[in-house]
Amino acid sequence: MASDLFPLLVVFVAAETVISREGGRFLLLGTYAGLALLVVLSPAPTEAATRSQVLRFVWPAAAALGVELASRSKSPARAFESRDVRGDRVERNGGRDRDALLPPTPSGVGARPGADVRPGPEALRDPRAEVLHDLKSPLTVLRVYSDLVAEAARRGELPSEAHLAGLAREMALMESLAGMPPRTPASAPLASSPAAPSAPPAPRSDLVRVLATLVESYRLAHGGRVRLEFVAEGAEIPVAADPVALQRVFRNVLDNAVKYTPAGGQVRVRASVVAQHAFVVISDTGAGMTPDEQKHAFTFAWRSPSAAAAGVPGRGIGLGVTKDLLEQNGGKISLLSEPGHGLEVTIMFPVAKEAGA
Amino acid sequence: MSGRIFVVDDDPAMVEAVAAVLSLDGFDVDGASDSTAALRAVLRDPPALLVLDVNMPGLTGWELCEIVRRQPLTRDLPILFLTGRAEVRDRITAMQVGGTDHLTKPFRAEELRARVRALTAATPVRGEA
Repeated sequence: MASDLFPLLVVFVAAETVISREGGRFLLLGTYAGLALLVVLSPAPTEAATRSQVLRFVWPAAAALGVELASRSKSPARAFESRDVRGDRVERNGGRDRDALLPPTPSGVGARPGADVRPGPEALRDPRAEVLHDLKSPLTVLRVYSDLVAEAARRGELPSEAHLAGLAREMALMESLAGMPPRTPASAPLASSPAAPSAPPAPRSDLVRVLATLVESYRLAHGGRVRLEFVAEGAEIPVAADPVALQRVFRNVLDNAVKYTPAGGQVRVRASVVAQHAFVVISDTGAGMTPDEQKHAFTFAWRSPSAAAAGVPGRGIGLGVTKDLLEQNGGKISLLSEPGHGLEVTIMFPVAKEAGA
Repeated sequence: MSGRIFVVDDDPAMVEAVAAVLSLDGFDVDGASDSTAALRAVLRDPPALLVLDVNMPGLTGWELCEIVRRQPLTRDLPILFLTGRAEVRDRITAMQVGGTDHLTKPFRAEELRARVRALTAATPVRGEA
């Protein structure tokens, strides 16, 4: 009997290691109590009887163990119980030595209030949740400015120019994301005549101005961690693209570049014109992408397993949206990378005809 | 009502919008889209209230909150999370890492103002008995 149960005891001792680390002490105690009962109540056993009892008891217990372990591995509460605090956090953030940036922890404050609190990658896998989450920020901005304009109206005052501008900017961004054409300006006639309706003027943007402004804002926000450089060939590069869409496109690419570039790295933005086409190359010194990652990079809600495993925040939506916006504005995007040697994103637009001719 | 509020959100438009709302109540609002830069700024010159997004590149809002809570100068700083994370576990986590309050996006301007008024009114001015 004892020899029959020995391998099972070994299994349960191994399980103890896992379960007690996961906090399932009650289940463990229950399991041992059941085993003890089995041993005590066993009549002079035949080998067959022992096997039968073992099967009757052990399989349900093993199943319970499996269920418990599986549920713990998926449970949100797991995040609150993890004990591997600092090492795990650094590793899950792509190995960045962020501790160098942090102030020293006061002595005696070893236990952190929430341990590792971030949700695991599984929390970011539902595409509907991803889309909803991505929309919450612009929706909030829209709602906040609407509230401010409405509040001014209730007071009998004119709305602030800044609030109206914020509202218009965010509305345009939402429309761009939804693939809607730019609205006709309120001051413009709806049509010049019923017989010959005039087409809305083609959108036009200066790439140099858009990029210079953006890079400067990223430099202010992230300049302490990565170097940002902008070089343009020419004082102006006009392209036939909606300025709001351009902002979103370059913000998405710059967000990724900054996010995946380790501290001390560099993000370079170069703009040039070749054969009536404007080229913007955004390169970084991050980890780069494998060929497989490049193949899926524009797939909606797809995230590279390595980035997800490393806990790098993201929803896998930015590059897909970027590609859509570019195509709506006559542009194209391509990726070039070698793992470990950064990523180079090339964006191409036709130069605006009236200026480029 | 006055005081300085620091807003951290990786979306600069959100920082601007929150600043537009809170400035109506006389607050001076500073902001940052980079959480690490924000941490330095907050530790260098603690505001009356810290408003934090959660999902950000680099330090998340939760991590930033924990660090701020460990520092003597900012241990009692009120911290309001503004986040799209609406699940109960997220609200619990916000409190566990030391957050004072939690407001889910999309929120109304009036609710933000009300919460900020309550949080700043409950904060004793540093140096007062």
